[in-house]
Amino acid sequence: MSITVYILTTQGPVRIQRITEEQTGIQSVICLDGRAQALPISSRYDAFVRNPTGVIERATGHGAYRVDVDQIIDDGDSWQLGIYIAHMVDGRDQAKDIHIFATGEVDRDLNIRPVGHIAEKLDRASRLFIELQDKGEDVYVFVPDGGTDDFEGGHLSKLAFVEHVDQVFDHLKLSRPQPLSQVGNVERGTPSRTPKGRRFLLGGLPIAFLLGWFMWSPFVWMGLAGDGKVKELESAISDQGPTFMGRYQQDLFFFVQDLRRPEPTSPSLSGKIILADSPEACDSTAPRRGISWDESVPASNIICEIIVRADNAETNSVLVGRMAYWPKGLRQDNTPARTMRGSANPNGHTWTLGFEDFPNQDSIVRLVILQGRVAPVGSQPWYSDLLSELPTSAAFIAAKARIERLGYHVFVRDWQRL
Amino acid sequence: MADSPNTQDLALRAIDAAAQAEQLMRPEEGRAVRPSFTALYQYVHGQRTQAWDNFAEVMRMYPDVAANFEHLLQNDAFATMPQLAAAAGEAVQRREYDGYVLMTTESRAEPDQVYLSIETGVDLVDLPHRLFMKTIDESWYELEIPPMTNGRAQIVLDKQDQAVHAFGQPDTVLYIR
Repeated sequence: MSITVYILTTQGPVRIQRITEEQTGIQSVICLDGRAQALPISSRYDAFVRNPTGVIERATGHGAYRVDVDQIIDDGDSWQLGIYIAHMVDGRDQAKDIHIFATGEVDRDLNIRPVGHIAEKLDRASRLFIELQDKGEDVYVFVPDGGTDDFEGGHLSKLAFVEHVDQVFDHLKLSRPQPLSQVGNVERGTPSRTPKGRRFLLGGLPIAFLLGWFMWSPFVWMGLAGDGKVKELESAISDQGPTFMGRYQQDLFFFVQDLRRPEPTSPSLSGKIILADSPEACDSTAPRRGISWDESVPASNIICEIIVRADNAETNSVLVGRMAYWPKGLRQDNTPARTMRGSANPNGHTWTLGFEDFPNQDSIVRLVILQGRVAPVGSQPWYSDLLSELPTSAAFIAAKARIERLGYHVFVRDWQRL
Repeated sequence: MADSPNTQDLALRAIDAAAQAEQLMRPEEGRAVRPSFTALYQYVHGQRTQAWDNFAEVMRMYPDVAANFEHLLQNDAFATMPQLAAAAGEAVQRREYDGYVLMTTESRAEPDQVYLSIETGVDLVDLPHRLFMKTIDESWYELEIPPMTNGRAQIVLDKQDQAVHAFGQPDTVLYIR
């Protein structure tokens, strides 16, 4: 017997047709009816799934899913409760068919937040409620507590107002989902997701083969780390998943990485700012003067350029990094006005940034330096948060931890006009 | 009809010529409109979201337009991925160049579909909005890149989509703009 979950919307109930674990590298996506058509809410669904922003990966240990639904959902976040329930009941067997209708937002603590238009959503689904109940099937409806005074729901015997997802599972008489951290990181979900085959191999094959098999992934990861392919390395480790063997392989790899990681020696930074008397003088060959970036700049001067050099005191490592310019302060615009990769020098790196929008007291130049055994190559998505977020923010801390885990040290320096 | 074979042939040729002339003078139904250079420029720079109905058809029909379009892209693309040197027999699934990584991954849910992911940590100032592909036989394809989140965007495509086929060819040139 099956559990069917519907998302209540103002356009009518939307049936969740299926949930599929996709390969780890992809972004989670909601598609329409099996077609190659991603719904506009897909990026929000990806954030709802993925750690540390989301809640699904935390509960299932997997971070990439595809959900197919039978109707379009355009906007909003009230789909979250229905999607959450669908993930948690996926693969569970029931004595009889049941139908669950839900609307509501789910926060990080799994509280259910109020949403609008509940009466309208219930009204649009009322015909289906009645059809299913007339067939004798169980219909459960979950809406956030509060905000539904104008809806009686008299014909729905199992309409429940809920504040937390645990209440949903109590109503359904199903066991509450537990975060993986509370169940010893044992994989849960459908039998097909459980690596029982691997456990069998552990007991059935010669030790030599087992050792070779065990060492293979860490060996490949070390190769990627040695080539500086950090994004590929991260994906490869993530693909291994939180399996029994995978955790030990990851532990071994990170242990070796820690041994090989260079000592975190702060690079020696020296900065110079180039001043002129007027904006025109910045572009001309007229004499300009340079002062240390730690000195205060006379109010009458224009800052034409900033040059920062980082010298590496740790001989067994390399320095790379990026510099971003925020004319109105961090995150005051969606993106920085300029980003610079800088250029490698013997034993260091130099960044030179000429200003078009001249810095004032609010402007910030942020320099992010990575120190590791080899220079990272390829895509490096962590720079986005490292260059834009406050160092105390969750996004910054998560991005820093992400790259440090892969064998790099992160140094950050903000410059502001004094 | 004239009796002489020569006269008959001459008459037939005259009719053909008249028909051809008429065809040239008459606006062709269904024939794609030739985009102006201004339209090309605005399209490349994101000032027009849709310049014409059928991008691939227009590029095929007007080679000089395609040449102008490519010239604009060569100047203004965020990333240009040249032909791969390797003479790979199998379809390419990953391209990496200019700080961008493009990769196709088969869907487990729908094996006849693929995810094309576009990832970058480079251009934070101006986000890319289109991927253009030029194959070895001068065919052009375009894909709209959805808004990036954390430097990533993803497109779901049918495996049979010509753009997917073009992406898989090592001699296809890619432009991200």
